[in-house]
Amino acid sequence: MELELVEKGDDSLLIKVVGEDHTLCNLLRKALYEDESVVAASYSIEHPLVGVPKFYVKTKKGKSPEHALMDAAERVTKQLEGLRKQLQKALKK
Amino acid sequence: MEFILSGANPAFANSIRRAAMREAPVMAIDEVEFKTNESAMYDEVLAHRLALTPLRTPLKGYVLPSECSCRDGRCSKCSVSLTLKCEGPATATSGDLKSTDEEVTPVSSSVPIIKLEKGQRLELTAIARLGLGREHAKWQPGIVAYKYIPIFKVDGKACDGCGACVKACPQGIISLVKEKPKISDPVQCILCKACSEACPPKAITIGSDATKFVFRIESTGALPPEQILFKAMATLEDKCKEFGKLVKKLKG
Repeated sequence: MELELVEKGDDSLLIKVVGEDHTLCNLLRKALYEDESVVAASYSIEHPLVGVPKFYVKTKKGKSPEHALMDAAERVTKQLEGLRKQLQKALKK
Repeated sequence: MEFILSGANPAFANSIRRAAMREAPVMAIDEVEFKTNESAMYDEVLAHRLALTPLRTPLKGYVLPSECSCRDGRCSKCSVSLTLKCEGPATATSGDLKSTDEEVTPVSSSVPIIKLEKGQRLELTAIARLGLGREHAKWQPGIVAYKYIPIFKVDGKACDGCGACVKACPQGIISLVKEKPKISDPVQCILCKACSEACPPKAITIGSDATKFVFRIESTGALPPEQILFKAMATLEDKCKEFGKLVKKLKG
């Protein structure tokens, strides 16, 4: 995975997520919706086979879009971690 | 394997499904060298059939060729070689594939590969490697699918207790309790809406709960289903962690 900066505003960010697809982007987009300081979050993949996802985030209330992204990634990580532990427990039975 | 995922959203469920089908590495035949092929089929057709034969994949011990230090994908850390030798009249099956690693063998020994007539010979060496489902379907560890849990609503005033919904339900899970329809096992519902269509006063509405999903994992046998799920979650977790780190770096 690699991130490329495309455009940076005061409260907005447009990045390319090289090497990823809907699996990660859609997950993060939905997680960003849970954040009240996020005004807009979306992504587009221009070609289904060779397209590189472009991810857009816009925030308010003084929270930077990078911060919102990091928080979203951490929320999802925690959710997955919880599930993984549950699965591990269930498998030991 | 079937399980219920609750407290999630459609994006989360779909990401798990996608990761399970695309990011859990399994073994599959990737290269075939034919010594003799006197069968009715071309080499490439046989190679394709061999590639789609599911192979048991050990959880540890092998690495993806792209991550291996050997760089050519032929060392013992990232590849397994299998041989097949058969002479007609016979049907060459996956069971005829002899592996150099007893942990990497065909899941079933009875998958037919080619029918050989009298005197026809087939001899080949195949190399199996780990790979990801995103690259080719032969590396898909199985089928992962999910469906919503239904929200079954009955308008108590409109319902006249005629029982048309009970007869219409193809799963047979609706019964009348005190003359009002009830679903006994929501997981069995296939959301076909036959009940609401069959209801004369239109008293039934079927919605879907977007936070609860019934997952079903059907493995090819290459990996146990719970391992597919485990790998999927671990990969997603790693991706999220890496993304977080990269954003931090980007911010400077």
